[in-house]
Amino acid sequence: MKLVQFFAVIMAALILASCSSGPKIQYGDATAVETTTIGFGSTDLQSIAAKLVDDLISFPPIVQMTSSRRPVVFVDKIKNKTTEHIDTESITDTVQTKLLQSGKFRFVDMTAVKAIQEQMKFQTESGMVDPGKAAAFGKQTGAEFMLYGNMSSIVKRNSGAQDVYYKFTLKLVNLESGIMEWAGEKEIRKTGEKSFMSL
Amino acid sequence: MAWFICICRSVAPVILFAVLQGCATSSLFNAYPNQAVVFKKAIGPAQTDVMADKVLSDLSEERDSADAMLYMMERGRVAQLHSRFADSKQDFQLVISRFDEQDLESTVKLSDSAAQGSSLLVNDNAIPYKGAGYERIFTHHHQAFNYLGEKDLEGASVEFRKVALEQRILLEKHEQEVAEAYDEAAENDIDMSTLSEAFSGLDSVAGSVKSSFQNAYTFYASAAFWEATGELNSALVDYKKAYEINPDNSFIKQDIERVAFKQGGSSGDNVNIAKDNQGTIVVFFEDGFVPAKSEIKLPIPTFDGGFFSLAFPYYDVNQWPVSQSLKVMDDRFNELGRTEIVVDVGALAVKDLKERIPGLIVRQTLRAFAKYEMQKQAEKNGGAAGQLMASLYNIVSESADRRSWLTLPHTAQIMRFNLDEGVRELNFSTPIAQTSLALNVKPKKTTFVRVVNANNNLITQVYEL
Repeated sequence: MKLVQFFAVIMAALILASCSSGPKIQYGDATAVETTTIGFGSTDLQSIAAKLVDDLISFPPIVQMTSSRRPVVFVDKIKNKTTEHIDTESITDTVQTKLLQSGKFRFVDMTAVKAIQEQMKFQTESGMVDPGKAAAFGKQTGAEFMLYGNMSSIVKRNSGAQDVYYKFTLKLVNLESGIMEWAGEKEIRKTGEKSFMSL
Repeated sequence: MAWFICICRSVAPVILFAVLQGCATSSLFNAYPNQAVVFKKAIGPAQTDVMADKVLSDLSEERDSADAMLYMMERGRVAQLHSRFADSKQDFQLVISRFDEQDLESTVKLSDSAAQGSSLLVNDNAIPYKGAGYERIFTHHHQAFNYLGEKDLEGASVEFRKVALEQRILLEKHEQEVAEAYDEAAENDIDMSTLSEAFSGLDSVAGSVKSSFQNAYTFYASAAFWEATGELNSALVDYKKAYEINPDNSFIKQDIERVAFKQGGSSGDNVNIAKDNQGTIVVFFEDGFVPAKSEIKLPIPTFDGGFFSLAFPYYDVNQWPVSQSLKVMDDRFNELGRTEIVVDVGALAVKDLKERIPGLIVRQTLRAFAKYEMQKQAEKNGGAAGQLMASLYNIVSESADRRSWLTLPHTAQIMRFNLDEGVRELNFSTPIAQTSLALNVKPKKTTFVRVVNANNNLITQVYEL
């Protein structure tokens, strides 16, 4: 009898120990559809960027304008007007990268202005850089266009379901003339429903 | 010896249940208001920093407990009032994500059923804390101030938008829930009328708020924020909602007229508008602490004609604290005005409890059956000694669910005025406490000054917009 009890304890210990294995970690597909929660996620970011970039580079006047030259664009901050803390800079980064890779546009990076300034100062003032090879002040190219926009959302919820609608608007404005050359919009609707039973 | 084994058998599963569904339901046998005394003491001027550190690190350990939401609400507020915004943001983030999870939680959750099951044999404190509607609103309200404290206006605007959304959804949702509780009572043949009478005393306080979550303080803070950031449409909507709840408030009436004027409407006599060389100061005064729930024992009739006494949470409205207004004076002690109450958080809490009563009565009645049955079994198997043990267990285990966010203020008050630019000294006083603050007033800018009366100390915080 004692022996049975002893083995029972050992078995229980083994079962408990086997439960407590470490976390499971895997690599996944970065472009796979993600539906962990109803909030803004990577799939939304990717579909927004893809749609807007396609829209912009296939817009006839833009196709015509970019056929012979690559205009310089400055990207302004995207306003987040939703009810979620969304990193809109990451959306514009993706849009900007895609546009740059299309070979039709060039960009000035306003987020790096301070670092550029410091580097230029170092080159011209520190005395450590050959003046003949130092990048000179006052030779940067000014942007011709500005890309800006906003993101808003409408959320509806009742006891059984939730519905989120996102609208992302991007606009391209000619800085000199003030004329809006292009505007694009991407809408996303997501719904979540309660399941009946869970752990 | 047989009776002893019997008791062990009946009590052991209860303890096992309680242990299984989270050891950290520390309110199970220690009433929550007693624990919260320490949290409230940790809010105070700088000299209590060491104490605050201790309380914050103690509370931090509750992050994984069943009542994590409750403890993180308390921690978030304590940290925020010590201007530890990053810390506080993290705490409220946990609470917000739990609230968000609840929105799409399945209708039947097995782990919840286990908690409900063990609560039948112990008390309601065994059910993990899920927060109340008004607490959800206050969580977002505080989170917005964390973003303001970090000078992240976009982050704050997201929270203010989110809180508006929550206020709207809760309004749509709550009536339906109350109706469902009555349906459940009818299904279980529970007579609500006799027990509801015991709670009718709460009406005098609950009547002073529109509903248990429509929070005019939050509407006012968002409106002032929208006005300062130039979103006049949103400002007008929120001022109007605050006014609807407080039609006697003189500031809000003026605010609505001013925003309408800024939007091109006709000018009233006194719209309290800042001149070109003036900055605007909005004072948010949070007075005292929201009262804690007390406990009353009510007899529940059992099916065989007897009565079984069970503990219910209750607010003792006869000993309701009186809230004071804050007098604001300039550097020469000339009165600039007094704050006016926009929300009585105590009344919000009372109203919330009142709305929970139908559900509470259903659960308590089922618990009375369960415990009564256990007592009878004990008597049958263990005789007089068994019955004594079972009764003792019932007395010890029977305590009301008195959990709620207790570091919230009792009332929240507002006032608004304009000052000439430059460094200005402001003096604040209540009948028993006073403090002063040097403020750098910038022209055409808005500054939020938050004054918190905790333990008769006035704490001030400045949020520049």
